[in-house]
Amino acid sequence: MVKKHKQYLSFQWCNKRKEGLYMSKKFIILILIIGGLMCLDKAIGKESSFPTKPIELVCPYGAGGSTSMGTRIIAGTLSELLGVPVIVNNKPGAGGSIGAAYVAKSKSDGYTLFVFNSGSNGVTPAIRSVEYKNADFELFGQYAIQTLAMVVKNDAPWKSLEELVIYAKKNPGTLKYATSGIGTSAHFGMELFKSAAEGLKIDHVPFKSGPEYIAALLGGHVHMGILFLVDIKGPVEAGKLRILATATEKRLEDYPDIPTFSELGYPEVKLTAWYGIAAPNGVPKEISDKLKDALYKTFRHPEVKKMLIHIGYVPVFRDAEQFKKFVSEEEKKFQKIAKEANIRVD
Amino acid sequence: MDIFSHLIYGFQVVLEPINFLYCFVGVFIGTLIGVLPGIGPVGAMSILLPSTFGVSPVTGVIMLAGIYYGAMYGGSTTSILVNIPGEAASVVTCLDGYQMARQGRAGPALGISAMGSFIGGTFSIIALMFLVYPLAEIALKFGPPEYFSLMCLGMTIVAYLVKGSLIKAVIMAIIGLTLGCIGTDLISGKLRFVFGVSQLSDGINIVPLAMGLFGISEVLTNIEKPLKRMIYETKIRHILPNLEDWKKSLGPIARGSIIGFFLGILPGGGSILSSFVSYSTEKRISKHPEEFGRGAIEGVAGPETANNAATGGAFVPLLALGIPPNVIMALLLGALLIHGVAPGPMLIIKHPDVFWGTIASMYVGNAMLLLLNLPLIGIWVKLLKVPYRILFPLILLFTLIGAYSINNSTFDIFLMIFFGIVGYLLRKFEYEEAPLLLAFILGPMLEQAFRQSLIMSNGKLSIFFVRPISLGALILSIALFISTGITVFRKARKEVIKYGQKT
Amino acid sequence: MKKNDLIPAIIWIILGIAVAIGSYRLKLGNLANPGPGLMPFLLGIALLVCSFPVLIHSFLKMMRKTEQEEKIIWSEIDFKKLVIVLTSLIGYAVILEKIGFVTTTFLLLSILFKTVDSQKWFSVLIASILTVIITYFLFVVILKVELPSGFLGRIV
Repeated sequence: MVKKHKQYLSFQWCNKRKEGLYMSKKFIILILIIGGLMCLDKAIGKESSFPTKPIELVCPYGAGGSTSMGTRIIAGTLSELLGVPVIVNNKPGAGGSIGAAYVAKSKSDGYTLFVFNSGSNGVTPAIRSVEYKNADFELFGQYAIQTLAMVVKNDAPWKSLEELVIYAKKNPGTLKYATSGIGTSAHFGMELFKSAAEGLKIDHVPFKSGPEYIAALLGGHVHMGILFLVDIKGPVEAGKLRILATATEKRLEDYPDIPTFSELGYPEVKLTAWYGIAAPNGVPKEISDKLKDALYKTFRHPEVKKMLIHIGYVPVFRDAEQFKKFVSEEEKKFQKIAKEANIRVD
Repeated sequence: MDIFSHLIYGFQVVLEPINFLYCFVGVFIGTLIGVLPGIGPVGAMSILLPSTFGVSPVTGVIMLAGIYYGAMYGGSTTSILVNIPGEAASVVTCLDGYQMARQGRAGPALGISAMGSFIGGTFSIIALMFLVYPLAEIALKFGPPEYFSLMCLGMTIVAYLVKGSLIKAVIMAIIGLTLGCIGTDLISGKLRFVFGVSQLSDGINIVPLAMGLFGISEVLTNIEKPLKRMIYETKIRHILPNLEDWKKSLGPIARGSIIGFFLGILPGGGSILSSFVSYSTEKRISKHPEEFGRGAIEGVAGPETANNAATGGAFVPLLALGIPPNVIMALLLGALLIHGVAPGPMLIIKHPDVFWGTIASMYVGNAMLLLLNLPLIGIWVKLLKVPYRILFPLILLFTLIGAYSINNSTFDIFLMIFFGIVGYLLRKFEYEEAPLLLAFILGPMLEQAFRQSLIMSNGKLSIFFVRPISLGALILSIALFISTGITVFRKARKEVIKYGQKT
Repeated sequence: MKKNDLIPAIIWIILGIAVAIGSYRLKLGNLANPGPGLMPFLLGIALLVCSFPVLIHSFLKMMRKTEQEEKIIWSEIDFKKLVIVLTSLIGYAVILEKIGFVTTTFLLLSILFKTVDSQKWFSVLIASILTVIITYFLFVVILKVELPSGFLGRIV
């Protein structure tokens, strides 16, 4: 495009030979202006210590969602610690794979960070072909998980998981469960449960978003779901939904009376969504050490943890090494579930 | 009355200096965002979210809510001035609002739009106050079968959107439905018509589609002829609507308020659907339906009122059940949660200042918006006098930025340009874009609801007829369909007779 | 409708067939259990069916051969202008992320201000710079929108 512009210019210049002097002055001014603007684009910072300019934190989900809000909480504190703005860049789409692919291809200079999570880096690669591998990322640590729980409507006839299972076995095909789509944690969670309970026949009704499936649950149009706590917290507090079991290691702090799936005899049903920060592979050691230091402080900061809890996360801290190990185990788990339930998108 | 004392308390909350300030900032930014095409309230709200961390929850919510309805107010401005929908809900305003502008009546269009928005917004707040809880219960009764039938009803509206040939409108609708199929199929998870382009796997975004079809094609149509001949503004007749305009608009505004409020309650429905329904209702009821699409002020008054009334309706499920009916409300919910305030039935008891403060801030916000927008009309109208050769590069630039900012991706810009070319060609061959857009919006919801219902009923189609709300909506759709069919049939017969007489 | 309607009608027919074939490959299922391909398949068929009246109508018009009805819609069109505008828009999208918002916008505006109607070079450049500054201020500073800053670095 620049070439075409300059060609056009010189064409004019040739044709207006009479105004020769006039035109060439204009030409010089134009060059100066373009050059000046390009310099404007350049950062002032020389090679002083990292960071010298704003950092981009890519969130592979849309601006309205809980992941994005959690990201902004992290970005706020991180920014204070590093002394430069940490700008959240939402690059949503394709189950998080668009944002992930973007980061995987970015420069590993430490100025591009990524919310490495169980969606874009766990579930999605298990059900469709993507343009990146988890090995393309250097993991810095984990800050939170979201837990899943089995909910039914408050006035449903099943007061416990067992009653539900008995009913389901007696009436195959009558019960329906809701999720926010194929290949989501909610979907995976229920499929895990169905196979753990030896083949329950409960039909899957996908919805497009959280509000829709919550409304469907509350309205009695579907019977149950294994859903994110953050989405169901409101109605549960209001007494409209009842939690039958949680898909976690231990009982939840907020709901100490509710058993886990393991306690009820389904130890395989343990699923969380996890969230951490990563960067493209190859960040120089001094920079990655600095980042890790700031990130660990952020993840452990009491204010940050409080705000994360408010929007429904459970703050869980794993440092870089622990996170890496955890992720490789989770990867295998997701692959297994996808294969056994035959979930594949393309 | 108890409610009024609560309301007075709410006003006291709002009128505290910091809340008042934040309210103003919110509506101001909201208007700005609404006017600029493509950039929606979600982006701004999420960026400004951190700045609410340091203040009390009431203050934060007041500002964010202000952004929301500020955007609804501002969205109609570009629709009227340059035929670019400021956001999806203002698409319908383009149909008649822009025509009014071309006839020199941009002022009245903007004026009626602002007043209608104010009345619609205020009405919905009042209705919200009294009806929050009972309405929420009713809204829950809408499950997939009800949505399907509602969407069927919505599709019959297509016939009322066009001023020209009906068969061409149907073709446009079919294409719109097909475009809606591109992306990930919700029920099976499979990718449809994506051709390996990952940016398409979530479907075509409505913003580049609308901006391209309406805005870019409009610009292209205008510049194809030598610009000296562009008679954009002959004479500005009035700056404000006159008595005649008011008389015509009263009915549409009243109906639009009701339509908008109730449709806004349904999750997923919202302001877009309400503006379309209002438009077609007015056209159906009108004694001069042929004026629609050519500058009928009812076609601006109704939809603009409806989409603002829908914002009030959207608060119903949020405040009553803790369920946000759309992305914007979800953000508000998040903001509340971050501050430790859980919406739902407990809200009014545990945090009355938040509840009533928010409601009172809606009144204040609406009033502020009216005061802000009315004087702006004079400025906008003057803006139209700027020669087109200077204006159109700016228009294009803003749409480019708007398109980019949706996903921070240039792909959306390409999409918008593509649809701009398509829209331009369609206009050349006299196909109208509105039915395409409506079908594009409703199509996926229709198909989704249909298949979800069948899963619920294990394949039995009877589910649509057994449930009363669904049955009602279906009967209405069939009735409308037949009535439109009769009109078409009569017209076609006349044409055939004419043809026979000629040969 | 004019005889030019023939072209769109043919396009619809081709499109309808293409959609129907494409969706056949996705599973159709049946009415009680629809697959992902059912809806687009029906749409493709519907498009095909609806294009026939248009086709027939345009044939009829063609055969009537009334002179005044052949309003030429492609006359008096300044193709050069359209092509330049479209090319520059597309070019904008192509180089935006590589060269950065400020420079690309400046180039675009210069082309648009200059090409579409003869103006003096100087005022074009001034107008372009001013616009870039104002829009930058508006979008990046006030609204904090993310605009790309190109390979030469970032602007805060």
